[in-house]
Amino acid sequence: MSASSTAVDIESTALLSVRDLTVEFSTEAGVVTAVDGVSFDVRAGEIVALVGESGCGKSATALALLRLISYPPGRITGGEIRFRGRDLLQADEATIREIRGNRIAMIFQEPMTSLNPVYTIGRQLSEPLRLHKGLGGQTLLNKCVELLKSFNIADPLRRLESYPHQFSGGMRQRIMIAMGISCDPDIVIADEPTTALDVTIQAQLLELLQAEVTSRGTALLLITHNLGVVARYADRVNVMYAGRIVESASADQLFDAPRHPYTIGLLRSVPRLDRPATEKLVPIAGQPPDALNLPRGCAFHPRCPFAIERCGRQAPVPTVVGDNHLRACWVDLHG
Amino acid sequence: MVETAVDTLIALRGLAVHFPVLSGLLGRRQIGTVHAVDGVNLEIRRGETLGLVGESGCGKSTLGRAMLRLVRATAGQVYFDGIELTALSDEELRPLRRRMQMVFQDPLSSLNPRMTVGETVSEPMRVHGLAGVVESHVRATELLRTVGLNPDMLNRFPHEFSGGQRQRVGIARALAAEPDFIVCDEPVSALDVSIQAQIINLFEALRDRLGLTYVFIAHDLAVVRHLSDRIAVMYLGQIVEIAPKQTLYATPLHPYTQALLSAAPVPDRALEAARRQRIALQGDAPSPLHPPIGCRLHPRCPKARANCRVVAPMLRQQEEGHWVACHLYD
Amino acid sequence: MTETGPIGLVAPPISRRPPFALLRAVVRYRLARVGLGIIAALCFLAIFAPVLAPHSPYHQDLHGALAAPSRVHWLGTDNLGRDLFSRLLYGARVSLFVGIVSAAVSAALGVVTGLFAGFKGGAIDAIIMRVTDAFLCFPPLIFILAMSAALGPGLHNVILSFALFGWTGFARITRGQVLMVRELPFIEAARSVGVPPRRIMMRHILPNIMAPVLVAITITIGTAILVESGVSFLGLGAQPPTASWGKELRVGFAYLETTPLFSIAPGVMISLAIVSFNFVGDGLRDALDPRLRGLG
Repeated sequence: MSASSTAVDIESTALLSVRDLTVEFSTEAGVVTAVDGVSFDVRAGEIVALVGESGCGKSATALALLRLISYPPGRITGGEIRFRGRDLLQADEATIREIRGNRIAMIFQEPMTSLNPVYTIGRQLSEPLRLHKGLGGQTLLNKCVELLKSFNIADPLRRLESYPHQFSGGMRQRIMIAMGISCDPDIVIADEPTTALDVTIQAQLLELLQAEVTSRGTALLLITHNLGVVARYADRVNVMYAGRIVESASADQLFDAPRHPYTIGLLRSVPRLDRPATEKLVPIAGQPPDALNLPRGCAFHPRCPFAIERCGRQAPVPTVVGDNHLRACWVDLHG
Repeated sequence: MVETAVDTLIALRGLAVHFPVLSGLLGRRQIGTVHAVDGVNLEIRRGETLGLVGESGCGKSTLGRAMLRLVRATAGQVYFDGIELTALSDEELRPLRRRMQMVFQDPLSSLNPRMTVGETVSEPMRVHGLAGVVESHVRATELLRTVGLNPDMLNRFPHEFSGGQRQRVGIARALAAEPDFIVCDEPVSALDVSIQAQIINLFEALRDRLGLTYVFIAHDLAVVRHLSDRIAVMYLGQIVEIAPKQTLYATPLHPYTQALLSAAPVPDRALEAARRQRIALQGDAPSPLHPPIGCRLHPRCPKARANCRVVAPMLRQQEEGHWVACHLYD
Repeated sequence: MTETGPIGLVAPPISRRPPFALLRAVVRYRLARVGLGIIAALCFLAIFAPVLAPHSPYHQDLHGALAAPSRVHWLGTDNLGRDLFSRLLYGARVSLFVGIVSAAVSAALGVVTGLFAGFKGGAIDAIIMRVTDAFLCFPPLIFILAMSAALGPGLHNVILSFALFGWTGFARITRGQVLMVRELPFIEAARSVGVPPRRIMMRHILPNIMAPVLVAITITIGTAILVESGVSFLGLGAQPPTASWGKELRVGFAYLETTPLFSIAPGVMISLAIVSFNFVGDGLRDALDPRLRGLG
């Protein structure tokens, strides 16, 4: 284990163990630390959510896990990513390529642009199977047909010859999910997989995804900004703000007794169908932080109703507030 | 002339908006029609907030634009304060535009990047002759303050603001000409979650203060619920259910409304755990190019019957103010 | 949800009017800086030619013709004994003037036409575009020859030909831009506010399409200088005793073996000017491109 700057060293028997991950981007106006010392675990078969708003660094974190950060302008500048005990940041290219799509798969947000428009679905679907499992010929074809069938795509044999633009958004995303789980990975990373889709399609897809990962015992890292989705599907939740994890807890703990002002603020400001229609929304004051010009101390403090003097001076470190429940805040709150 | 109650601000009669799909060498040959809005009858009272929900392709944005005559109706009429908009020329319509405004979905692209915020907000006043250069500047300053922005920002450009601030500018622009009616087309969808509440509250405060009539378009049922008095649910160009806020969420009647409500997850762990059975719609939404015959939902409806494939249901009143278009209730 | 992009950048709260931000952005590219510097220097030389020229460009000295560079005549003399350096300075006036005016005239005509066509659309657009296509087919050089025959040779022919033919490119570019910008939400917003069509065209569309037009203008200036040089080279442009770079190049060509500087010097000036305008154009294009894609 490397020297961790987190206040608590979580013993890691986890499948994926991220410690102090730091990712920087060079821009015209300066260096942006998109991910600032992020640590979390994903256990086998667990559904972990990474929640936050745009710019909080959740997507950058996901890309970093598979070393997909392109340089320039981005660079992983610190930390370790232990997958089955081995640090991916130290591994060579061949190892990483063997892991991508095979042991750790990724599903992206925009099915329109993440599927290659000039290749048939069959070609793209079979690619990971060919590469990682060495399948070919009739076996490969059968496996693809089987995959499409299990994802409720009618007439699978013929549809393998179709191109992405001939499918609807929901179907394309289903194909992406099928590609993701085709090699039976240990972890699937889903980066806002349904944000671009309608609510009814979103529900369909997420249920499908949940069923697949549950039946195969695959872990799922779900990246989203939708707290409802988190409540419905996640086992564990990590809340991110300005590149850091501000609260990390089981889903039950988080919704039952949130302990960070940002989490509390989010839960109170989101319009909710389960609260009376007349109940007032309590917004979080202020604006999202400027990544080039983060506030001193705790990045959230200018917007925090509970901020004390210390918050403007020193960035809080994660502390334990419950059973595997961490938060980064100087102020003592109770839910 | 159409009989409407005195306090009806907007009335829609048999409104249809169809877009031709053109192909061929010069784009002349019509190969299909997109039935964006197909036969909508609606009345909106002065001071009311009507929520308009539906998923992509349901026609809600087109309906909003048709109300302001930003798109031309293919059939039917739009009445604003008793005046038939569909019969007016562009020139005749322009002075009326003062009274009906729009707030757009994307705060960035709905502001001219080369005009300062002050210029954008004063333009409606200048264009309608409500104020001269100096006075419009003063009024713009006030408007910025009203929407919660620092008046010193008058000479800044849109790219210098955050998303939530830009949307406030868009709202200030909509208020500049002192309208009676504002169509809000998904005004918070492009904003961060933590900012949405700020803007929703702003809409509410402005409505109460200025006595505005709103049509609030959204795909998120929870967002719409907060502001609306009545809510209309649209599917493939038609209104399938319309009811006062309380009744729609308490007793949704149309299978589509029920599906929408059960599909939307709620940030409450206990509730979600208890919610086992989801009312699911089969398959994907059909394209508005080929709406199904009969009830448009029938290919996906879990409760579809033989009748639904053949006959399109009409909007009928089930209880006070609660209308549904579904054979289950005929 | 991409209001602030993947890195969460929010623009700093300093007011910056777009035109100067543009200049600043262009200047960031080294080549563009160099280009701008050279153009500025050339303009300076052109404007202050009467003051800077050590000799009159018209004073002949047949005895000292085709002289090599000396302390008196920095670049030597031409075939009539006139100081080459002074002639080049005065030549800068002609070349730059013709270049800039030609570009300005064709840009003005072309942009107005393109604006009109793109905004009106429909039949008017179709007619204008067919007219544009027709003009594009006509070879300008033939026209210049014809004009010279009719009106007599002179620099006015160059400007005229650009006015009559150069506008087509600008019209095309402008129209394309208008078609694109027309669909943007803020145009719909302006309509919903009740802004009349003419104001939409001038206040909303025009300022937002200037980017590629500006790039095209810089390139056109370069082209016009080249055309003027070619025309003067043929003897149809600048007439004696007027000096222009093209004319000097032409006359000097005959003496290439004995007095190479006579044609090399004007050649270098022409190249320098064209390349500099192109550098600036490239810088403009680079500076504007990413912003143009998102339009702000």
